[in-house]
Amino acid sequence: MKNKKRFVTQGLLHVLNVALLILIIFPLLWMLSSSLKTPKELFSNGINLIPQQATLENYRFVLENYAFVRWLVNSIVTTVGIFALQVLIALMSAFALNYYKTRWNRIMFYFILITMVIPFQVTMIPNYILVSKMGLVDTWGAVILPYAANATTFFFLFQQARTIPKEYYEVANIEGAGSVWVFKNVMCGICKGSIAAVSILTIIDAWNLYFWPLLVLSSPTSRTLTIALKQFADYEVGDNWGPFMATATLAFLPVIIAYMFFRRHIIEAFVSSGVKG
Amino acid sequence: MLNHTNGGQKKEFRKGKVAFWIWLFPAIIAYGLFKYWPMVYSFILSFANWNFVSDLKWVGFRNYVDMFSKTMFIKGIFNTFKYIVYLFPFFVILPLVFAVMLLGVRNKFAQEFYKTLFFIPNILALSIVCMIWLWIFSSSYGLINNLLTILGIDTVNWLTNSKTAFACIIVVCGWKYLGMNMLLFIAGLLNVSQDCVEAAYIDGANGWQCFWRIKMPLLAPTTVYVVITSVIFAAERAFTAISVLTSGGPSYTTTNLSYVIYEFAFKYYNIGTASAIASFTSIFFLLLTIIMMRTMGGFGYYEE
Repeated sequence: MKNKKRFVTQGLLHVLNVALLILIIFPLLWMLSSSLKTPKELFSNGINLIPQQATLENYRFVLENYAFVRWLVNSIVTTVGIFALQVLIALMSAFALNYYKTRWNRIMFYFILITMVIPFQVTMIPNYILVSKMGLVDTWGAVILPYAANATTFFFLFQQARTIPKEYYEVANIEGAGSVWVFKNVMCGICKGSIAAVSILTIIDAWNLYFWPLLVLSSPTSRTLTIALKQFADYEVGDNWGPFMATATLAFLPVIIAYMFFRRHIIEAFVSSGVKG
Repeated sequence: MLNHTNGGQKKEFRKGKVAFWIWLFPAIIAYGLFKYWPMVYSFILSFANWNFVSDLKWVGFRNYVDMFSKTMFIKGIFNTFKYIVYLFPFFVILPLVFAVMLLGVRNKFAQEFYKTLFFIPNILALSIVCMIWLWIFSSSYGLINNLLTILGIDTVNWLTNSKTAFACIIVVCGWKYLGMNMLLFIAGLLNVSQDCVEAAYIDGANGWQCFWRIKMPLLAPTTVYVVITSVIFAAERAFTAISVLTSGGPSYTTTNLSYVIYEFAFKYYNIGTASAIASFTSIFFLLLTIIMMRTMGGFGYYEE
């Protein structure tokens, strides 16, 4: 009797979860399906998910007529640049504030942390003026540099560095190790897990950047994937939805493949940033 | 004895001033140049009339007075609060319900499978996701209108109709972040000590009482965190969704504070007003942070 009741509840829960799953995944399946449809089928009143005549024409069109590879390279370079600069700077400052003891520690800690509450739109205009004065508009540098400073990344790593027992530093000092050695072997060694987590978050954020690149990148060849896609969406009345869906699918592919491999780490990274941050 | 004095000396070394500043140097440059200088500069510009190319003209507090007579700004404040209210069910209530629903699944493999797929929209770019929804909402041949046609219901111009545009943005954002908020609640629920729950059952509480009286109060930190992110989202990060889906329209019904700043700066080239609204928004965020510190018992404590 009790078993039967449990069976029914479990069945019901599965039905509900599958229903939710369909709701969540459907727009993405619709993207894939649209990318494989012929213009005639795409611009019709049908609602079939499986194309009647699947075609790769849209993919061919994008790869032949647009600088897709260039966009991909731009996205990769800016992502790697932001990731490297942001994590390195955050690590170095987290280390300095944990390893050394000066009367400036507290001040410098808040100097960095307070910037967490400055909304992006406040720094947007002056940063735009700044990068254009530096002559960087339309280059990778314009996208990367303002993201060197990120207090959230810093705080995440600082919290981890705090958990390193001070005795480790003492021992390293007695052994005569310099600060670079301690940074590399003690700090980076112990915080490996959180460095990985923060790296995942930084990379995903950088890959998905939209607004700032849209402001500072203007020529067709300097665009990153996310903003290159906007040009298709701009012609809403035109017949560009096919190529758009093909490009969007190609842009999502590396992310989803990476997710399938590292899903446990990625989910953990997101949750820990939420719980701690 | 020797060790002791040695240790003392090395401790002195850890107090080394120069090395401390060398390690912090990159951060000082980065934060100074891209956070502090812009903040100061933006504040200065809020007292001027400027369009990127003209000469700066100082106007005192005029921008701060004038902005309150701009419909767009008033709508922006109003809508920011409207977003906070309407996002609440999508960011807090539904994810919590779904989290409980998912944790109820006994089969660990199935649970992992659902969780993995629920999370996918969170790792994708909000901008691209919004463009896909643009197609789904499209008035001609969009999925939703095609469905309505088949059902024989009148079609709607979802994103250009002032009655539906706001709801569309809420749905897209709710859809995008459902997995994330759900996972935060799952993590919170798993953290609730089983001892408390068992003790309640032994005392004769039923499942419902157990949830409201024991689990909910213990979930408070997660809930507060999710609420705060949704407030920040409403004021700032909804920007991308607004810009892609509706451009703030129709007649400012979907604009928020951050989108208003953007429109004044990069559409009307009215840098003074944009900067004044930016200062206003900063104060809004500052108040938010103070509330956050109060309710969460301070984030960013620093102990020697």
